[in-house]
Amino acid sequence: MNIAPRYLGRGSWLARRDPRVLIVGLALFVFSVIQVWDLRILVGLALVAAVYYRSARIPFHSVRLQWAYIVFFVSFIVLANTILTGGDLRDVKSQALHVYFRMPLLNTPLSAESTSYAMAQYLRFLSMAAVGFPIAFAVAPGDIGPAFARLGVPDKFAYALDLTFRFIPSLAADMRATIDAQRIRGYEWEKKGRGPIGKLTRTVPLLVPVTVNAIVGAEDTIDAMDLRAFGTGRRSWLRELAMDRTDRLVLAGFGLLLLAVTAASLTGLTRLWVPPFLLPA
Amino acid sequence: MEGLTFRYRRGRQPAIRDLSVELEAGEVLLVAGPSGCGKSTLIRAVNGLIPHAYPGDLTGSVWIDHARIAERPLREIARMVGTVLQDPAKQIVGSTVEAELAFGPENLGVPPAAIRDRIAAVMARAGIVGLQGRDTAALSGGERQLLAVAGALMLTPSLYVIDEPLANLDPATAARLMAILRELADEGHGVVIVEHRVEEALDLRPDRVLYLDAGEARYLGPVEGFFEVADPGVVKVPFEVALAHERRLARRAGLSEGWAATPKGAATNVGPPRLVFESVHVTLGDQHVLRGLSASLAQRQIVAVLGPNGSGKTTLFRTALRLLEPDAGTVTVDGERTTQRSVAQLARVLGYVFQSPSQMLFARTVREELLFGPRNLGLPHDDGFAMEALRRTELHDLEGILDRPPLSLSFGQQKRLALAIALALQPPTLVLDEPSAGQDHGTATRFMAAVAGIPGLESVYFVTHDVDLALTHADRILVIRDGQIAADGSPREVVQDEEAWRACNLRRTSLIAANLAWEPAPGRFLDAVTLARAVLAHELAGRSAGEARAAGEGG
Repeated sequence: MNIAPRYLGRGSWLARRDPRVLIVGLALFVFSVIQVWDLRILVGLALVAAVYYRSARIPFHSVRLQWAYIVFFVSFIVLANTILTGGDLRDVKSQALHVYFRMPLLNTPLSAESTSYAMAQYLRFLSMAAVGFPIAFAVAPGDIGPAFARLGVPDKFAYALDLTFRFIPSLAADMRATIDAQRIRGYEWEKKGRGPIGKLTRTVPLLVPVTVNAIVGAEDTIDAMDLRAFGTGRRSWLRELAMDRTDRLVLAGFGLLLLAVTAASLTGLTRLWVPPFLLPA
Repeated sequence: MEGLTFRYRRGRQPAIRDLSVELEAGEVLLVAGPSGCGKSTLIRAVNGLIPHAYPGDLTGSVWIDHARIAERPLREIARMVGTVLQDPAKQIVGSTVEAELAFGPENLGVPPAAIRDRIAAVMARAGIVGLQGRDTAALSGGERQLLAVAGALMLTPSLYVIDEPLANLDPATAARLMAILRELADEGHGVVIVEHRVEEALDLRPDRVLYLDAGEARYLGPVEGFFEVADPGVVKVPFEVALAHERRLARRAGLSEGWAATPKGAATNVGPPRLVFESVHVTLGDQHVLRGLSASLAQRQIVAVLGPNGSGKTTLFRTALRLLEPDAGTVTVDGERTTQRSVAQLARVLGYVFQSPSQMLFARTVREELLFGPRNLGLPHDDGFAMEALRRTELHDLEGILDRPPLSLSFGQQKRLALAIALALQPPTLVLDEPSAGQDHGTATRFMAAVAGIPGLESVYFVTHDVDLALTHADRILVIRDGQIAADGSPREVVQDEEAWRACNLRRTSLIAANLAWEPAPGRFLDAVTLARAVLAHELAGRSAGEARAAGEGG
């Protein structure tokens, strides 16, 4: 069974927008934010992202796990990046770094510049996540496919994207059923195994049934779609989308943001900036 | 269909052999047969998945409206053949009811306005107007089945192929579905329905029956002729047919004492309560499923739980095992609150067998699979222990069973393995969720008989849609409706309350009527074959007494 993502933002200001606004808005925001290394501008962009996210009215308690995962994932990437590239920062010569100390073994310098770089990356990723989240939770079930199709994505891929959005909730439901089936056999999935191999082995009773069922389920879904002529020609979409004035204003806002940031970037205003309090006395 | 034979690319034997059938417009063909008889392959050959999606060796051909299926693209075939798969959950791809209904016409490029008109007409016809705007994932099994049929109606095909539609439906919803299909046939559409619950499928008034076994047609002709050859031990037929079948057998072989033995009445010693629910409320998402339900199930009792789709039957036992936590009320097992035990500790008392074994099978061998639970719980876990669990479920005779991969077993064998897995924790009580799901009538009946015969087992509680299976295997029936107990008693007591029975979407089958009429074993309902033999024995005894009386008077 394909299960739709939870429509947590139902009825909110953002959920009332044409779903294409959320997709194009995210693309414009991402292109804006990736050009910026100046923490001051990034704080401004993060505020824009926060306001936008708030307008989706997604209850935090319903998505705290997802946020915890994102924070963990972003922290890992930022940390790894900082450690690996600490001495090779964009626009900053290694002689100009204000080094606090060097990492043992790797000899990578931890400096005021690399700390600013890490903070910028952190803010950038979290802002992008905040603007991207509403696509999963504030777009009505079934609107993802029509939205991508109307944006010019071929029908087959647009519907595949719609199914992809439903794949994770469906997989989670299968996983819950398998966890229940194994719990009654004394399996405690929260318990960790010893060492990396032990940890991996402990997940086998869950991963094997879930994977097998996912493959079998996918074959059934393909059959069901084939039987109703999916992918055999140009398709129509029942859901008709139309942008209203507010939708166009929101898109114009994101477009202006991109223009402004691009202009700032071309004039060198978005380069890495180190807050004075980070510089060693 | 002309001389159709098909062997899957990886198959050793053809799945169907030399099948030839001609179906007129407006005709209903009922296809019956045991699991593995080739009916899924037959359906795939008709709807074009064979050869378009399933490669293999195909000889013979299928024609629909003068078009040869193998030579037509799926897009064209989809307009001609509407298919409803056995499990509607696997068929539904739309996330809302409207999206699901629109899926087929959208793929054919029908304009949105025309799709909207068609949706309104089809929803009215299928009686699902109340489902408007609902998420498909939140629908009950019965609602999904009706939606799947409505999805097929959207393409207005000339032929409908429906695979075991009754498996997930309560009897009243099943009757509604049969009425829709009958209407389609009356309008001139062809209908092929695969179903082993023949008695319920008779509501559709099929014109002919194709009986398949091992991929070959054993019978093709009118329903009356099918009843002459049907084995009531394999397909579910009306009781009168089973009686006639046994009468023919008796005439041929003669009645022996053991053959016609009438079982004694219920001898269950119920004992103290094992599982007690007190004012239990459970909410799933935004649905209030159990609403203050109270019931006490005894230590030595076979209890069947019946009720309409979505009434809370499965939720009841999942709550007992703490797979779900109640919002209010208490559940006790052997006098102790379930909150004081872990899920695994509860499973040592209530061995739970899931509807689908594929949810749990993961190990490389049957041995590992069986010993996983005992090892986790510190119970004995050697080969002798594994073999004992297999012996109790009659799987021990399969060659090299301990070293076989569980997923290489047939579905029926996997069901038995799931039972053995539950028994490996040595529970005194078994809880079975839809034991007949995915199994034909004969296999399901044998499965339940095997469960009842497991040595050392004190009680069995099971959830089912199959009214006859419940009444013939249980000595107590609980009927749940809207999350509360609607009826509770022996099979006889429960079915005699006709009003409550009907209110719970349950059907009075011919077997119920026959058991009520003959009452061969006080307090118990017998299956069709056993009851037929009991009736024959009764007739024979009556005849013998008459003959003796006549002989006495003559002397």
